[in-house]
Amino acid sequence: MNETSQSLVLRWARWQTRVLVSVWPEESRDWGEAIASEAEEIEQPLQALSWALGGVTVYLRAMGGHLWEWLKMPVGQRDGAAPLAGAPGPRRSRLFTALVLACAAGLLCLPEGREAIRTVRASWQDYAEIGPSQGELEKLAARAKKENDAQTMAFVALSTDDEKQATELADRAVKLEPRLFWIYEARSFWPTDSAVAKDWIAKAEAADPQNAVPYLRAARMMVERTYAELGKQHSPTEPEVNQALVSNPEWGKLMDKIFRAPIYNSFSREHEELNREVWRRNPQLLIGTVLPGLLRHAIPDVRALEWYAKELVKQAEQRRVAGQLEKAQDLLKEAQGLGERMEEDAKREGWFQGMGLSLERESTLGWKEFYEGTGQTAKAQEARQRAAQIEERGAALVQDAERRWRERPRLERNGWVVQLSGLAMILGVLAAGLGVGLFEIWPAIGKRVPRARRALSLLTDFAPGLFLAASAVFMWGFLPYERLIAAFREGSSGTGEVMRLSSAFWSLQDVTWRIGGADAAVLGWTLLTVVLSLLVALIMGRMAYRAMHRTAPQA
Amino acid sequence: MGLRIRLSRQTVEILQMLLVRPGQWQHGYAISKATEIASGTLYPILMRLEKLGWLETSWEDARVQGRPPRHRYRLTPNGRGWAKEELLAARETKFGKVAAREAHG
Repeated sequence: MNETSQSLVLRWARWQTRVLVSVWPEESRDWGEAIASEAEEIEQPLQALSWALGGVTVYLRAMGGHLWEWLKMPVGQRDGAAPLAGAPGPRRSRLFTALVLACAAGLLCLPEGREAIRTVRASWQDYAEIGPSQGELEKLAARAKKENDAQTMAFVALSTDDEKQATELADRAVKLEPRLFWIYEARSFWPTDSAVAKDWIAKAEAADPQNAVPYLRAARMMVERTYAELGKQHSPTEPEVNQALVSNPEWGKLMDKIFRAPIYNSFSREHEELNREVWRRNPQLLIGTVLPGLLRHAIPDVRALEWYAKELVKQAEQRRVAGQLEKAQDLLKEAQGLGERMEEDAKREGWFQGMGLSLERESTLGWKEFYEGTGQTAKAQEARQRAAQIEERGAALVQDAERRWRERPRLERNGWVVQLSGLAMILGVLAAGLGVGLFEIWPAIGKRVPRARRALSLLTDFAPGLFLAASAVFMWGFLPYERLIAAFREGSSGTGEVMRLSSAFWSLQDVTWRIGGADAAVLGWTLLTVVLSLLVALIMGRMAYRAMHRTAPQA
Repeated sequence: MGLRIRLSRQTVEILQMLLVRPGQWQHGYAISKATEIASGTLYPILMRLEKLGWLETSWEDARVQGRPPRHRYRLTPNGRGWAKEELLAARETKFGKVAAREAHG
């Protein structure tokens, strides 16, 4: 080491100890000065450097001790300052307050806590109806395009409200993974816009011509159109619509296609699995983004099917009476076949079982009539028994649905617990932040109004506890939802998960509507924004005031 | 027996050094050099000894122009007594024996 560098090291070491003194805690600054003065006596650069570095560790220990003492003091209490006579400030120490707040924050930072916050936030986000978060979908879409991730593209295509984006992503996803062709069918939602839905249906028909489901969607559109046309004159009744449809040859052709199609596959299971997989990979997604696509999964038109099945049975009866037994049997087989295929699909997917049973019942009763009319008593008896069995299965299905429905009130109570504790949590943390912030920036706040100061002190003392207690209740109340979400993600609770999950989510959303009506979310966020803005303005004003008063004497 | 403190090897060495000339003021750097204890360890021990009343401190007048006054240390009369007792007790422990052996050559 040459002389210049030796001198530099020496100067740097001395300078560093002097700098440390300037930031040393006041109560032990003497010791910092002692280290600095000794550094001036050391002539060996390396020894001086070692001395200065030792000074840093002493400084850090002193700071640690200082911080510890500061934390043990009540909120707002300054070093060496006596509490205001007659108007004491908060009694809880900073350490206690920080620990309570940290415990609450720790609870909420657990995966379960984050899930609860996300879900409850989603329940406040869409106050009009469940809708996907377009922002989340945009991000997912951008990433999926970058990574050529067909599944995520399909998920976005089925969830987004943006038709253009949906078309682009669906086409790209199917091109990358042709087995995803079913998304065309699933995307042909309730036809609010016929032209758009028509495109999806055409693509679904081209991709899966053997399947009855795309034709069912087309049939649904025809029902909508008929209602609209008849509605121009008066409010149409169901039999009128039925009559209009049955007399429409186009309708007949379409229904014939449906009842003859060898496959009935609504692909709802594939859709559910797709959403589950994307949610597993992106656990941060809001439930309000995962559910809508599934809930909008194209559902066939029950009434139209029943009308047509009844029509087939009626025609079969007419043929039988006319002696065309073979034709009559064909018609009955046609009606029965679709019911069976739908029930088969329900075994796999858990949907439309009731619809399938209803069709089977209609056709079985048709068979009974047929056998009775042709004198086949034994077979007629068999058909009667079969119809009775179908009715029993239908009744069991209804009971099961009622059992699931009974779960709802329990969740509604939980919804209140979760939402109210969530509100208490927000109030608690805001009050704690307000109280601590005010006392730390302005320790003498309210000294002229002791009652107000006492109230603010109480708020500062107890708000962190409120935050912790409310967080614990919030997490506890959310447990049933957590279990439902986990069951959905794992796909472990069998069929009906989507309905259970959406029912749970609605129970949370119901509360937001009851608290603030349809504008609950707007009201809530407005209040929060106003409170936070006031807090920020107050703190900034106080800081500016202090800065001005600190610089005034120098000027 | 005075206030007990945790006697680390370094504390023993510092006490021994301060007991060599008990009435004489010592500077931090001199103690560090004599005991070969780095400043980062030395000062926390001195601070603790002072807090417990074993050590008295003072600032000397600046002897050299342009240099800050130096901080100096010596054991208080009580501190001397307590230090002797502690060192005697420490001799019974392994490190105390080793330290005492080293101190007496």
